[in-house]
Amino acid sequence: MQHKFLLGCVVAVSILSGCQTAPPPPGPIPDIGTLPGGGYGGIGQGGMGQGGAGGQRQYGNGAGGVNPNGGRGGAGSGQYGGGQGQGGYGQGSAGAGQGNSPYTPADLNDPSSVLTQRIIYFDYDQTSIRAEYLPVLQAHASLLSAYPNLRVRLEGHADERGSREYNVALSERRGYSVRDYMTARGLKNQQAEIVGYGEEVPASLGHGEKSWNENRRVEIIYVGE
Amino acid sequence: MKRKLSVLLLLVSGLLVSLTSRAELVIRITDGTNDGIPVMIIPFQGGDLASVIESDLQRTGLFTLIDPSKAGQALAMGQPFQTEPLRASGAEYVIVGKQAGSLEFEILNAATGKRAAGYRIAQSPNQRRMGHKAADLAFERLTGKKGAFDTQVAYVSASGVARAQTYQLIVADSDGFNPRTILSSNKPVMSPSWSPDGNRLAYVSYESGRSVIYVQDLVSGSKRAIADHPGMNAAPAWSPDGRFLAMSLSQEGNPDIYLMDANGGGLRQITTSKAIDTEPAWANSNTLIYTSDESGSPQLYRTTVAGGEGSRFTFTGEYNAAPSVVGNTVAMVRDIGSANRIALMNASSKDSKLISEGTYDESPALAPNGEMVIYATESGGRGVLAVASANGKARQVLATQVDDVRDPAWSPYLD
Repeated sequence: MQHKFLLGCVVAVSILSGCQTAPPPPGPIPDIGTLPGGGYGGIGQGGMGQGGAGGQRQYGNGAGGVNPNGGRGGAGSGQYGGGQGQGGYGQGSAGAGQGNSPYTPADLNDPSSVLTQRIIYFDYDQTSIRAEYLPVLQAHASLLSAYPNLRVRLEGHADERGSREYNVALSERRGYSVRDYMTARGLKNQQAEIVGYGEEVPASLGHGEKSWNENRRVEIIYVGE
Repeated sequence: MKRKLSVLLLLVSGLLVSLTSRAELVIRITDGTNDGIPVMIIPFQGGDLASVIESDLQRTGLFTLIDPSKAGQALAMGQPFQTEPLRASGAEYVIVGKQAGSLEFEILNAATGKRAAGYRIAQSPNQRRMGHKAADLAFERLTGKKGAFDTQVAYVSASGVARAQTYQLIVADSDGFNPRTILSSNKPVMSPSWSPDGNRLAYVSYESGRSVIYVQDLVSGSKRAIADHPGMNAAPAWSPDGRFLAMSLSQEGNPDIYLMDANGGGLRQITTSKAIDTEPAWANSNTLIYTSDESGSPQLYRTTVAGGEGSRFTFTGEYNAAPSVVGNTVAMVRDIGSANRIALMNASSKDSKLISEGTYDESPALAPNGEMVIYATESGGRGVLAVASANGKARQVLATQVDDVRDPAWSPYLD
């Protein structure tokens, strides 16, 4: 473990100092899931992406490496998570290649398939993906990557606390968070439309933690299904 | 005995009828104040508009209403009156009037024994509007400030079960009476904003499957989509001179404040932060106050139509959003931890105070004279609208019989 870490540091230093160094051999890349205090960022090749500048805690702009106050830079589009860096995972279609997925569209209607899970829930005031939902998103991304004619609408929602229009923006950001995780895994941007509904379409009317938990969500809706 | 019983039955059944009608009812939860201008309003001859005036004046928190039964005499327009019993009652002014087609009323000075003012208001198809115009005149005469009772409010009503609600955009008198539906949809409607001439509403509707800003003519009913860019189209706000609409668009990736000509052209970006910038409100023709979370959580920021980075405007409280600005007063929703409350801030001194007491208060909208704030709150398990006086001394809930109402917007002064 320590060797890989040192190797990663060397690579990072090399990249930062502009030297040409071969990237480390592609070993198993741990999926770090969410990081405290920031949005989810992908993992750059070689372990340390060249993140964007600046550190806004919420958006997880790392300055390369791991910023304890933010997510790790990467996830190339960099709208909400990660910086503008190109070193992130985002540009590739790593994982399943085109047409290469253990899933088929028929699985969308198979009650025993993970693909029938269409709702991702979020923590209060957070847009980062909880670790428990990563396998679901990986499955959807795998299918969508293999079947580029499939399209989804990602409908983001917020609980009732806070102002209505801010919640529309927050819920849209949640939709982008789901999309960005999946584009890092082969989804094409044009396959996904994002709509933020704020607190306007609650799954559960009423107050209290139980209702609020059910309302903070992104729903994956296959268009034309 | 029999006669009294039948009268009682008539009264009870009349009360039941009015409770079950769909008209808005005003329920006072905090009666005015006891250190305001003491005014006695004698029930008017020929109609019930005195109650409209009484309710209006109370809503400002600037008046103490004295029970007319303490007049100690019969009072009528044009008649001389005794000052002693009026002074004993505590009243400084008395309002008497009569309605016969048009509405005539007088303001009597209880101390001098003289008639302070007399007014005549032409007949109107909306009778209550005559009462609101009278209340405006009385308010101006007694406080020196411009009245805002003869105005309207727009708001959203939702009904039905979760995930299958229907939404209505409604316009009503400023006290909630005479509601009429402007738009009905099975997709969300939100964020109404009045044009300065009071003839149009801008609002957000999801009827096409995503958020789009529409402008609807209230007279003709015609509507057009004015902002339908990729991403979010949100939070329209008409400029005070009617030439521009401010709005929040996320077409560049994150929500920023934009300006557009009122006819739909000339789009230009005002804020450029990577944060969420939304809920613009015009402080004057040059200045916008808006919500931004660039500090980590929502606070109010200030910028000008020239654009660029905004400067932070609120420093009290962890979460401030949804600004409404009239003159030097900024209303906002503030999360105080245990609740969301409405706060009013003096833009010069930056002092602020909480003027509501609910748990889920939000969406404040100041009356055009800055003396009252309408906002969304909860009562009896449903969303209701309430009006609080700017001095914090009075609060009235505008209770509806059905549905869940929210998202109010106060009209400008109307002709």
